[in-house]
Amino acid sequence: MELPDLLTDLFRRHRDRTALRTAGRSWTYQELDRVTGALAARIGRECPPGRRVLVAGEHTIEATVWALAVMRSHGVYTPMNPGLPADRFVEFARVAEAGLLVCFDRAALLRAERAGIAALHAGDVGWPAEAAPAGETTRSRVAYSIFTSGSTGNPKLVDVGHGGLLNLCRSLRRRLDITPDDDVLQFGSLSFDASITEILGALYAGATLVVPAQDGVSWLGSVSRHLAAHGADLAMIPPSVYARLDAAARGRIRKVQFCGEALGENEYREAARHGRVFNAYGPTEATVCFSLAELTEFENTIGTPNDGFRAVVRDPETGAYATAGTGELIIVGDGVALGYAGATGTENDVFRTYEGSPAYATGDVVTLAPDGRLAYVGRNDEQIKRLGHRVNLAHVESLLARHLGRDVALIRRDETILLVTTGEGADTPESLMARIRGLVPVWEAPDHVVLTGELPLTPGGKVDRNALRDRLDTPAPAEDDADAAVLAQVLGVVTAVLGREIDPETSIFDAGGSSLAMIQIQVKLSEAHGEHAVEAAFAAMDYDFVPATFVRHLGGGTVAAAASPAETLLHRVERDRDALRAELPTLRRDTRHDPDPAIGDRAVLLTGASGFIGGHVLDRLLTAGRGVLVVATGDPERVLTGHRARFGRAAADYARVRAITYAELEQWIDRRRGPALDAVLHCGYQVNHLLPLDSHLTGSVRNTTLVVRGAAALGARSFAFLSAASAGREFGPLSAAALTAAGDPYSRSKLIAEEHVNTLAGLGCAVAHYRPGLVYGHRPEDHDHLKDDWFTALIGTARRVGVMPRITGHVPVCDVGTLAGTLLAGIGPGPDARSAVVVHRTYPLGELLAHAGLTAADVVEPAEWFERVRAGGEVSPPLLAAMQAALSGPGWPTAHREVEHDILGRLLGSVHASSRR
Amino acid sequence: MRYSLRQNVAAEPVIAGWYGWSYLLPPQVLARFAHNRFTRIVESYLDNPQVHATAVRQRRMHGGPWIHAHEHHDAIRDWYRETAPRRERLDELFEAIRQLEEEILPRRRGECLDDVYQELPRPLAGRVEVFYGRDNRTADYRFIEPLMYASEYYDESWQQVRLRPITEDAREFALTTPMLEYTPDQLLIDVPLNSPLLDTIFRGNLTADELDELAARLGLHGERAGRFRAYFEPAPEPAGPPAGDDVLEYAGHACVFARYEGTTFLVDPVLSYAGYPGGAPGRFTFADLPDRIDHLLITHNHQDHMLFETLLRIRHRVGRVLVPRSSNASLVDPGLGGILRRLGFRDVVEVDDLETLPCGSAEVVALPFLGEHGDLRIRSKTGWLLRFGERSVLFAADSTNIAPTMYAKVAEVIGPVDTVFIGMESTGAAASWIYGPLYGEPLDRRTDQSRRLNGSNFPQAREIVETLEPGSVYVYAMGLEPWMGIVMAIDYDESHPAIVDSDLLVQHVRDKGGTAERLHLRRTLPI
Repeated sequence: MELPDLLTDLFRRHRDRTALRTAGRSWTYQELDRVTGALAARIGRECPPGRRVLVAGEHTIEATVWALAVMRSHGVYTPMNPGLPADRFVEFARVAEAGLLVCFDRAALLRAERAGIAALHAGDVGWPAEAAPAGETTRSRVAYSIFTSGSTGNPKLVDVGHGGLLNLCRSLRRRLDITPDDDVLQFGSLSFDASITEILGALYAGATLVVPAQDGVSWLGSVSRHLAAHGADLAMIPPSVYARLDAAARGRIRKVQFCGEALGENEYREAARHGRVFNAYGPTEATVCFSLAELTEFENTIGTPNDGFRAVVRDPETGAYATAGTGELIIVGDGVALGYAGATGTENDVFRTYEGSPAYATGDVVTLAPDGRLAYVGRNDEQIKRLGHRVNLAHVESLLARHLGRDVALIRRDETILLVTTGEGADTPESLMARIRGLVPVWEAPDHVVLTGELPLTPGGKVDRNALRDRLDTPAPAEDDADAAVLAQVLGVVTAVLGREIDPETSIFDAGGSSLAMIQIQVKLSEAHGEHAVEAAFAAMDYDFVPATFVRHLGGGTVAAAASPAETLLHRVERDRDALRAELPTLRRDTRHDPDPAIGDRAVLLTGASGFIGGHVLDRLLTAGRGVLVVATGDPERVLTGHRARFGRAAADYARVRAITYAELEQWIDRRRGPALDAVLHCGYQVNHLLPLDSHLTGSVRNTTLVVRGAAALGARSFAFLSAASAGREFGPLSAAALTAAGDPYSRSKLIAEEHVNTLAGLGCAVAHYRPGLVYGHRPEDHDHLKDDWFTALIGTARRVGVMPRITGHVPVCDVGTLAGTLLAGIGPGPDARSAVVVHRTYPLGELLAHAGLTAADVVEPAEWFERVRAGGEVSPPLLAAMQAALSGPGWPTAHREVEHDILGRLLGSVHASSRR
Repeated sequence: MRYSLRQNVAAEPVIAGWYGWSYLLPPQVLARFAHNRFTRIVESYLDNPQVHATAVRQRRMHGGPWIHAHEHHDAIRDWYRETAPRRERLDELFEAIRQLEEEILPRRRGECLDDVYQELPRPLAGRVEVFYGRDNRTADYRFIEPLMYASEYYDESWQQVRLRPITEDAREFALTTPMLEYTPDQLLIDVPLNSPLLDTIFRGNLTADELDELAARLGLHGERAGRFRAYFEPAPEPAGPPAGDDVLEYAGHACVFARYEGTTFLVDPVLSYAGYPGGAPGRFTFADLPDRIDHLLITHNHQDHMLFETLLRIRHRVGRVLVPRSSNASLVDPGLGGILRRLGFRDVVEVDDLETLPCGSAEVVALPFLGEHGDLRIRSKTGWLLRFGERSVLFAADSTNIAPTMYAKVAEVIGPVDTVFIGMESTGAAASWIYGPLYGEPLDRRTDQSRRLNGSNFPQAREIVETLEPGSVYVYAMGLEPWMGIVMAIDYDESHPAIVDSDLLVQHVRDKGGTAERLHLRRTLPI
């Protein structure tokens, strides 16, 4: 159906309904039929058939009525931006070979005259009462034309045919659920084709198109006020514009169809609070809107094609077409535009045929799932290949902007990628680069970071890359620093060897260089700086060459001693943490939650259930009837059967428990699917003060990271971590000093694990760390867990040998029942979720002696005690080593009594009872 | 008077001018190494020998792409120039493989592959099979390896042996330096590695006439024949058959000799030489081997477990060779059986996971071996379980316990194990150190460094020990012996993770009342 017939038909169908409304004025479909018919006839007299009719107006009801009139005429509706400068106007009119200009201000009449085009001033024409009978005329195969800018910056026109219009109207009505009772906002400028979907989508469904009254300078402000006062049933609007609407305005939109830009999670969430959310995608070249999705949760999709369209992806390397996979989106269907008027060179090559149907190569890279759903990846022409990987600069740019929390522009100069951003705060190019390295793989990282003033913007509000390039090409004032000169020389050598520049703070290996290249650099640098000095600098870098570091080492080796092991460790932790922090939002955003009927949707993830404390926590959760997801290092079923035996529970008690391995959890995370969680209780940790730190890092800390990722992916709202009192008494930011103070590798690793858990706070997840002292309260069934316990072993040994080592300070002890309660409170809704050192009671030496049946006379120095015990040969060496490690510390400084009962006494008493049995 | 090769004279295998090992024998793999590694090494050297001299001085650079004979610039330059035609031929093959991998196969996304055979570049036509990988869309291929060996790209005239005296236990890293005659006591002989003449050299016990004839058949005349003869010494009276007690004899690195009721076994042979002063006292050398090795067992295709130099020297004593079954016929996993056959071993048997083979008085079971290969698709690896009557000994080599339940499942099938030998090079080199020249495109550093040739660390090894519950555990294959430097580059000190991890394991086993030790040089153990 051709556009004029489509309009005539809908005007007649909806007759008495309100078609168009603005402040104080409305039109029924019948009235609109009459007036646009009359205006179309008038246009027919002024303009030869098939010629383009420019409509230079926007945001008024008049302009909208005239637009409809032109669409019904035998001319070709060609909206144009009324704000064009005079010389651009002439150019646009020439390219359009316009037969007529419809304008709404008198200045435009003069312009038309200068350009030699016939013109009608809307105000002069007024609203004719009756339509003159229109004779049959030949119509153009072009339904409307829309200006877009060609690659040279010259205007070119997209000629859109009639073939896709009916499908567009039907798809919009069905998929956006537009009813005759809907008020549809007319927001878009007529010169953008989004306005076509607003106008046709509303009218086809018999709804009312509402044009806000422009009551101030800013259109957006006017729209905001209009929405706040009147609301709208449907608005089609870019996410960035939506974000700038007043909150009161956003709250009154019942359905939002986002279009024009990639939809971010914030806009989605905001819109979903108020109503239904749709995401649309479509180039002008495919009759405005190609695909659409209704989103009930945030996901990266542009939906499925509208009626009459299908999608094919083309492999950019091989040119092969496929119906699934990632590649350039090829739109196939009758809604593909006819072509560009005014195109130069090969611009029209994007229009082709596929299996006999018109096809348009979008230049957009998408992922097409086998079920037909599409996800937008980026622009084809922004893809470059670096270190063998395809990199989409626009994609990287938006990712970095998001994670760095600042506007950035990636500028490509030959083989070099610069990240340009405004110099603000304490950030230096180096500090930014360090953060970037934690966010993206090396091939996506820019080569240099450049700080500059405000980023120049185009009139459309995007970064003006050309202006930015010009600015960067202006040489900066030279630094007269000697190091800078050396660095420049070093970078020159690096460039000569590698054939390209690298960032001064980048390791040559990260930059894709080889050891061969590195030694070539070393030899060349030796010529300038002396073999010995260069060799020493390279050795100080442990043969991991970084240009700037080299210069620092060469300048006296001050850096050589600077990085202590704790600092090196801290950097490593920070890097891992930053990478984790960057990943979490994507995990939360992208993970779909499959309901698990067994554990429900408010489940608690628990680790360490086979351990002493974790077992008690699980017991409490079972009593509370919570759904529990147990994550275990070993065989998950065995963990549950072990727990059952330990707590004498019935199998039915575990109906709401599901047990999985860490590997399964990781699979869920990787596949972005899993059940929803309410909270996490992370008690699983290998307690061993003798293992080297690396073993903790690759073991328990790694598991902690996995649980943190799981918490993010599965939507946990709170996270309680069972840390250790030996990690320290202060909860400050992680520092080299804190790591040093923690002393033994186990306690250090707990601090590191806490740091990783803290990243969840960025998602709004409540994080609490509990650092207990020694935890007792073992029942006879728990006594296996005392096997490796150094402290009870020490008391037992002291009792046996009749001598006690001198223990300095107090021994901090917790009761497992009270601790389990604290942990459970930590994931509750109340204010209890606060990190704390948990010590219920302390024991001084005197009390310990009493428990061992000894007196002050039986105390010896630790060294002597260990010598005796070792000679006795009755205590296993690892246990002995653990005692020794524990006694080497300063001891707990203060006495504390939070619970009245004698935790240790009960335990030691029960130990006797069970050993006598 | 009869003559045998002096005990301190090494015969080093040479392929296309480089120290011969498994990945230089199949021509398709050699083509990749030649193009991606050797050309770069030599050209950077010819460009500036100082670069290599500087690198060789640095311990940190040990095992890197450096020419150690950096003072022999002219000899290397001439050799490189003379061998250009050979490189051109290999480059044809390299280019053909590149086309197949980068142009022909990626164009296929699931449709029929028949037409690929019409497009194959000539060097590969009729010599490869193409098929889809697991996702049914990514095309892959395998070599028909015997046809590759039969092609013009496998040329036995590129094979040589270099004889030279060894003067100390330590050997210099050999994989990156052209094997030329650099000094007058070195003799490069053109001879295919499978030639029976090599067995004649190593078997020895030759009369003066036989020695002269041998020199002549090796194409040695005049001064060169004299130099050759000088490598021989009067042979001692052949000793009677050595005592046949049952024994396990650790011979360094992963090499273990076993004798049980008269049947002899040798696992992962890498042996040291004798006949020079200052060697480690009591080390196991070639001279300690019996005349007959009934079964030679190879665990996997890494040069420290499958050293051509040792294999050639003992070939004439070996009965049957057992190797893990290889099925990939890919660049990274060429068939181990095929390599050994081209190396002149006639009786080679490939054994698959959990297959059992009677071997004389004993029984051999091949156990699955995971890890230590950088997650590449490599099947040519196995742990060997030897059953000596009621006792069983596992040579786990560098198998990593990355799938924690695998050994438990294996244990259910094979029953108890009494003695375990396990490699614990817990932090090995990045896999690209061996396989880099075979990668289609380089991995970025972080990915590369994450995929390592790691043996088990302490928790993994402990897990194996706790699962199999052996009475004795021996940590081996650590590259600690000085002669391993020829193919390995590890700088050990007491803080090296491999030492820390293996100390922990030894302590752990002893604490539980078992026998445990990290082996070094030589150790005689009861079966």
